[in-house]
Parts: sequence; C-alpha cells; structure tokens
Amino acid sequence: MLKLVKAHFHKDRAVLSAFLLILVVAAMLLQLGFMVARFDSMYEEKCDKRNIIDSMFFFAGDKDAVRDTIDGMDYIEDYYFVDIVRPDVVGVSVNDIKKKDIEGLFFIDEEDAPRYQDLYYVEMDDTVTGPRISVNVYTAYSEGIRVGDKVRFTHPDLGTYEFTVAGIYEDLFCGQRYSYFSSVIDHESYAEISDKAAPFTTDITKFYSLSFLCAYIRDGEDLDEVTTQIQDEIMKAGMYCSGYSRDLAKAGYVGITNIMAAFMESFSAVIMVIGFIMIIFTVNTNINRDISNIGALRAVGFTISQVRMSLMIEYSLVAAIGSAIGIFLAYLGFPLMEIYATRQLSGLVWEGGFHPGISVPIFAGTILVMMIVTFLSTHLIRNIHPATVLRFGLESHSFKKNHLPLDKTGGNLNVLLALKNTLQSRGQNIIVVGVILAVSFMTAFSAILFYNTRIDITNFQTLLQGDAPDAYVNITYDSSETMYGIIDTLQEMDGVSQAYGLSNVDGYAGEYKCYMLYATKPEYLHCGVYEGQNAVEANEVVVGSVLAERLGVGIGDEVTLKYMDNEARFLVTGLQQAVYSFGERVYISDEGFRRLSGEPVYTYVRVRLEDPGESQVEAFLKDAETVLGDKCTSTENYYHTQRSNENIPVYAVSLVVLVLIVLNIFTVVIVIRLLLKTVFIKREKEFGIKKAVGFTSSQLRLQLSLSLLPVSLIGTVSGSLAACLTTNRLFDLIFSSYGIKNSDLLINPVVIPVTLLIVILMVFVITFILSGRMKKVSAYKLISE
Amino acid sequence: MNKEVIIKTEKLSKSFSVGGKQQHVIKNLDMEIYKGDFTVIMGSSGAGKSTLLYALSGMDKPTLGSISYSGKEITSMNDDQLAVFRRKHCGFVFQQVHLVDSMSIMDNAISTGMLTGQKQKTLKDKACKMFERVGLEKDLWNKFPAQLSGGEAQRAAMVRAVINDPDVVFADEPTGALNSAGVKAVLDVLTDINRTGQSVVMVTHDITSARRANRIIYLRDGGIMGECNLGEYVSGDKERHRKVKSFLEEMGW
Repeated sequence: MLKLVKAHFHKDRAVLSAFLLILVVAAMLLQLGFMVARFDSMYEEKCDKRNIIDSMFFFAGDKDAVRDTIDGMDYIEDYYFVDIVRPDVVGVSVNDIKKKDIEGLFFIDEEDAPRYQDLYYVEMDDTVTGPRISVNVYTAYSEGIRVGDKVRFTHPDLGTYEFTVAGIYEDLFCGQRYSYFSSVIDHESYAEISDKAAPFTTDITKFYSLSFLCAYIRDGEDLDEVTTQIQDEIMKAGMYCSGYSRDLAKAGYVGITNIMAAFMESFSAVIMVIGFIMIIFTVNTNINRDISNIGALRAVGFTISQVRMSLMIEYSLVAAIGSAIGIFLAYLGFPLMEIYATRQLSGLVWEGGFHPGISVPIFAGTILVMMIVTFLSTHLIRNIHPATVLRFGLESHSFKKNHLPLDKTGGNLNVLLALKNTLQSRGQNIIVVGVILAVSFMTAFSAILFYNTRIDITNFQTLLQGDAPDAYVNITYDSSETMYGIIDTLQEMDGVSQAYGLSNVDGYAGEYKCYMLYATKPEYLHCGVYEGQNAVEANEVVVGSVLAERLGVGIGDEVTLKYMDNEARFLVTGLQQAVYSFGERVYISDEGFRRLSGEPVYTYVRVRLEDPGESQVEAFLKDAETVLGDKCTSTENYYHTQRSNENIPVYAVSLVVLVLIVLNIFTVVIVIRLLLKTVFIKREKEFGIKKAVGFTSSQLRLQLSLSLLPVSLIGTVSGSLAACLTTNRLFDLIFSSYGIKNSDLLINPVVIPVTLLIVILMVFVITFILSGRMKKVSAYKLISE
Repeated sequence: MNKEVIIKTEKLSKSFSVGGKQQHVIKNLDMEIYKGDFTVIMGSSGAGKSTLLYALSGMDKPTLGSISYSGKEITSMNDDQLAVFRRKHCGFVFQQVHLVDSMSIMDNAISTGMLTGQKQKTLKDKACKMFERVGLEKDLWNKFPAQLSGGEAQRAAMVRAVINDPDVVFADEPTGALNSAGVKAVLDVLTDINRTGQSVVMVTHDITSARRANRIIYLRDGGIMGECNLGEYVSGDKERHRKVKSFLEEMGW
C-alpha cells in the first residue's frame, strides 16, 4: 500500500504541489481568520482573569450621593470609585510633531491606577522619572506613541503638559476606538491638572473633573438593562452620568476585528471550495489516465478499497502537509499582523502561543474533508473489473451528439475543432465554468473592496463610522449666539458647500439607551440612511437599524425620545446603519433636541467643500483660521485623514484587502494553472494524435485556448456579475449584527470588464505557457504517455 | 531493377534516458525505404522497431544521424515543419487506433484532410468513397470511435491515414489488437493501398501480416540483422509463407 501511495506521489507531484499551495493559502487564511475572531472570546477570558468590572459610569457629583442612590440595588454586588480628569478635546504632539486632536482622552492618577483596573503592561520603563504618562495600547498604536517618547498635551482651559511615556498597557474598558481613552499620569501632574479642572465642573460642557463608578453586577443580569437603570437613577438624583456595560465595551474592542476575521474566513472558504472542486476534477482525470494501471493492480490482487485508500492517503497527506504549513505560516505571520493591524483596531494584546482549539479543527477538518472528497471522487472505480479496463479502458465519456459535423459545417478548421471540443465536453465545461466563476467572483469581490477602501472610500467610511466631512474646525464655546455665528461664517466662505454642527449625548429611544445625535442641518448628514430620509423638522428622527428593530418601529411610526428627564414624541423619517455604535443611535435636528429641553453645544464645526481635495481643504482651513482668529482652537483636514493611515479602521481593512488581493492573485494563478494542466492531461492523447497526423503545435495551442474561451467567458462574466450583484448583500449578511442592513458599497461596473480582462488574460497566458510543452514533446511521446 | 529511394537514413541513432541511464535503442543505422514498397519491420521486443518507425515518419527526432525523404533532410526540421511534412507525405495507422474519440470517424478523416487545404465538400466525397472501399457501412460514418468494433475503428483510421494521399503509410502493429477477421480486413486494405502505388512501412510481430510485404527488415539490438525480399503478394502463396518462416527462423525469431 505504501509503495502504491509513493508511486502516486511521484507521478502526480506537479498537481499535488499545486494543491499543496492552495491548501497552504486556505489553511493560513482560515487560521488567521479564526485567530482574529478569537479576540472576541479572548476579551471575555481576559476580563474574567483580571476580574474586570461589568459596568462603568462617568459622573460629576458627590460620591456619597451616588452611594446612597445605588445602595438599594441588590444586583450590584460590589463597586468602587476612581477619580479622573477628562478634557473633552486635547491637542497632542509626540516628540514635537503635531498629531491630530484626541477627543475622549482622560487622566488617572498613577496612585489610583491599581484600583481603577488590573492593567496589563505590554511595555514599562521604571526608570522614567518626573512628569510621566502611560497610555493604553489603542492610543499608543494608533497615535504612534512609544515608550520614551515626549508627549505634549494642550488644552485651552487646562494648559499645556509634557510627559515622558513610561509604559503602554492594555485597558479592557477604556482602551478602544469607540470608548474614552485612559492614560495614567504621575501623581504630581495629576494633582496639578485636577486642581485646574475643578473650577469648571459646574458647567455641563466642561465636566473635566469626573469620577468613575465601577460596578460588579450579579451573574445572570442583562448588563445593558442594568447599566441603563443605574445611569437613570444617578441622573434622577441630579447628577450628570454616562455609563456603559462590558458588553458594549466588548463590541467596540472586537467589532472591526470580527469584520476582518469574516473577510479572511470567507476568502478561505471560497479557496477551499475551489480547491476541492479541482480535486474532484483532477482525481477523475487521473483515474482515466491511469485506468490500465488500476486494472493491472486489480488483476494482481489489489482490492478496490485498497486502490481507493491509496488515493485517499495520497491526497490526505497533501491536506495534512498543506494545512500544517498554512497553520505554521499563520503563527509565524500573526505577530506582524498583530502589531500593524489588530492592536490599533482592537486595543487588545494577543496572547501568544499555540491555540489547539483553532489549529487542530482546521488541521483535522481539512484532512477529513479531503478524505471525503477523494472518496467521492473515486466512485468511478468502485465497480471496476480488471479484465474490462485492461482491454477497453474506462468508458468515462459517452458522446451522444456529433456537434458541428465537419462535412456539414463550414469554417476555419481551428475554430471549428475548438468549438466542437467545447460542445462535446459538458462535464469539463461545468467544472471550468464553476472554477472560473469562483475565481472571477473572488477577483471582482477583491476589486470592489479595493475600490471602496483605497480609491473612493466615501461609502465604506460612512458604513463604518457614519457622517464624515471634509474638514473639522474646532471652536471655543462661549455662547450659543457665537457658536451659530461661527457656523454661519463658515457656511458663507468661498467654496464651502455645507457647514454644520453635529454633537451627541446619551439619551433614550423608548426604554432603550442610545446615542442621541443632533445637528444644525440634519439634511447635510451622510449618516448611512438606507431607508427613508434624514430628519429635517423638529419632530423628526432617524433611527439606527438595531434600535429600530428593538423598538419595532419603521418609517412613519412614532417613537418617544428622552434626554435627562424630558421626553417627546418624534416621527421616524429614516432608518440608519453604521458599524459605529452598532445601530443604537438616533439623529435629530437641534430644534428637535430643544424639544427635549437640551441646549445644543457644538465644539467643532463640520465642513464639506464644493470641490474637495487635500490641497483645497488645506487652503480652506488656513482661510478659516484667519477668519475665525482665536475662536478657532484647531482644525483638521479630515479629507486627508480619511484617506491616510490615520483612518485606522478603513486603513486596516484596506491592508487586509490588499493582502487578500495578493493571495487571491496567487490562488487564481495556481487554480487556473492546475485547471489547465488537468484539462491538458485529459486531452494529452488527443493532442498527440492530432500532432501525429500533421497539426502543428501552434494550431493545437490555439485550439486549446479557443476551446476554453467560451466557458471561461461565461464563468468570468457570471462570477464578476455575481460579485457586483451580491457584494452588498454579503456585507449585509456578514455584518448584520453590527447594524448593517443595506450596504451601499460603490460597485463600479468597470469591475466586470477589468475582471474579465484579468481572468481571461490569465487563462490565455497560462494556457499558452502550459501548452508550450506540446512543442517540446514529440507526437510519439504525447501518444505513448 | 533500380528502385527509387523514398526514405534514407544515415548513421541513425536514438537513445532514451531511463532512470538516469542512456539506453541506445537504434545504433548507427543505415537503411533505405523504396517507393511503392510494402516494407515490414520485424524484430524481437525491444529491438527498436517502433522507435525506428516513428523516427522515419518524423514523429520523433533521432538522437544522431540523419533521415532524408526523397532526398530532403528532415532531421533538421523544427516541430512545426515536421508537422507540415507529416500532413503532406505521411499517413499513420496505430495498434491502439488512436482516432480522436470526441470526433466522429467522418470528422477524424475530414479534419486531417482540411490540414492540407482541401475543400470540405471534396473531402467528404473522398472520405465516403474510402469508407466504402474499406468496407465501412454508411450508418457508421457519423459514429464515434468508441461506438465501433476494433476492426471497424482500425479501418476508419486507415481512411484518415490515406485521406491526404500520402506517399508513405506508416503502420505500427495495426493488427495487434484485432481478431482474425479484423486482421484480414486491415491487411487487405493496406495491400490495396500499396497496390495503388503508395509505400507502406509496417511494424509487426505477426507472420501472417509479414507475408503481405515485399520486403522484410529484421532488427536486433537497434541494428539491421537481415532482410528478406519477397515478390508481389498473392493470396494463398504457400512458398511465400515458407520463405518468410525460414527467414524468421534464421533470424532467431
């Protein structure tokens, strides 16, 4: 048996090495996908291990009052308080290089840090003395901050502070893109900032000095529900309070990594499917080729099971080696992926080491599927009789109709023979169409993702993060009149198409907690409304998809919104989607916000230009700074930011897409090569006969290429068309749990001709190169092989 | 009588590499094939019969030496030039038939004919006549090779072999896989072809087939060990059979 397997290996080594490569790529992607997806469960494990709290509340007020409020809540098992200083927006420079302003950064006293959380330090330099700071992994990796760097923070009210970075740690509650960002500073600096912040804490727009209420909730409670109840009670006691649960925090940590994982797993699945289709085709072809050998083996006493088993062992060994190499490469490459992508996206540190829970199922699953596929593929020989096959071979084809008979059909000989072959090879056509369709789908899908993450990111950006303007102008807030005056001034400036304010508060839709966003001009928002339209009037609201589902409301329904203690009924005019905040948001006008007795405050103005571009936005911002003078605290060219690697989610996804494109091209080349090699093996004897009777190699190469052209065209057009028609629906399916209901990624029809060109070109080039063998091998050899 | 040489080899050698070792199948072979002859090549297994046949027909290239066809060197031709040479001057009949199994036997014949630029209509008429000549009934002409018996398929292959009126028909053990009725039918067709003036070069192991030749060349270890010249074939000639048998016994067959 072993000798038989060895002989098969030797004979099929070229084909097997191609399968090996396909399996390596598929297993590597699957392993990487599962590893990235594991951040989800890893977050829970880390929380359990480090005894992380279940709910966290920022509040401004007296701790005893809070204590009195929550003492009767029996679902709170334990709690503690930690003081923080949270400037709303701070200007940041790292080693004297100005970075974009950070919104949501807060400071913790170094002495209080152990109480705040069991922080896991990735790096720590104990020798740093004087003003020092440690930052969370997310902030460090997204802002390019390293231990030893000099970081300067500037704030209009609190002043300027410079720190040396002493450490980078993993924060499991406030260290991800959709939360506030923690930082730990030395006691002296904290005391100084805290003193400066204290006087402002009476102004709701400047609640710099806050406290955390960190609570452990009894097992079995709905964390979101309980968190909402606690927040309500604290607010009812007359204090500003904003809370969120560990479940919500987790969604922020692992939201984007789950998207990445879904991409990788989907690609891997497609590659696996293509690989296994090819194996069925190849095994069948090889059985036809080797039928006399199989007959001889049967004649000398091998059983059918032994022959089938030898083929299963052969391919299963390839599956084992391929998946083992793929898994190994994934482990080898993951540290790089972690540093350049996942840390910035998730704020979590991967816990290294071997993960048998991921690798063993991939390894065993690949082998198992391979065994099943090979077993099914060898059904041709299940009832084989040695004498029959030795004498007559295997009747694997039964031509029923003589298409395009040459005595009745006129035309060029090469074209006629190519078309005849196409029409006669129904089984082969199905396989070729299937494989080309799948690779074209992958190619077009990659092209669409590339276009949306690299060329025109507008819709992808909206899908991930909601409204994205061309520029931000950060302003000082002293009065409502001044604020609206600034917005009007900016709107009047040359080249400005839209200038508007957008702010958010925590509120309620029905009984559900939500992000309540209000805008001066809601009609200007590009916030991912997939059904209906933006809210314009004071009584109109756009509801996030997840929230709408929970509330059971649609367009035309009414919903009660609540802010602080005030509530009002609003008419739903649109449904909105975006990964950010996971569909738990509402958009209203600032008039609408006033109906809830809210006082709109905009600390930055969003601006869109009529003709945006990096230089145009830059020029506008200079003009705006001149016009506004000291009313403008800072600006940001967000047109640039969106398209640069500072836009972490889009950038990271685009990096993953680039990697997938490279792997896709690699796979497509291998698959097409393998497919054509198999087709060539299948038709080798025919080519030998034709060559013997006087067909030139060039004629045969042309016939081969032409015979594959119609099916390749059908496969490519169908595959690229399917990608164009289904990419958005696939997105909806994969990301529905993140609030995506009706993706509108840009589908440029150019994708179809581009895919057609790429795939057909590859089919032609690879056919041409492979069929070059015909020129080297004599007709005699082709016949006798 | 001086016969016209149609194929001539000089110091023809052919080696194969098997497991890293060179095997010299044909060694410095000088020979001539005459126009209009029915030449049979015989020899024990491994003597180089088929190798010689494929080299003579330009289907395989020799390792050393030269082959000329009607005075024209063919060993220096490239792959495509050899293909054009074959389509114009050679016809082939193989033991395993080797018809293209995805084409009807009519298409097998016509497609070969189209290579030389003949009109499809002309080729159809020609093929029909030839099918009739080799005894294939009309209802078989549009069948696929797999739908025919071995003898029928081999006769169809002969039609393909002669559709371009080649100067030489090369046959590699054409009766090796046939029953006795099939053998006779195929040999009759080959004899018939030869009688129209076309040369036939046939490799065979079969003494019955060998009797059809007017010249038998016997190979051993890649060289010519001996040859036997016979007259024109006449059915039932017992003296011819005795002569062939005696020659082969002499050669140690």
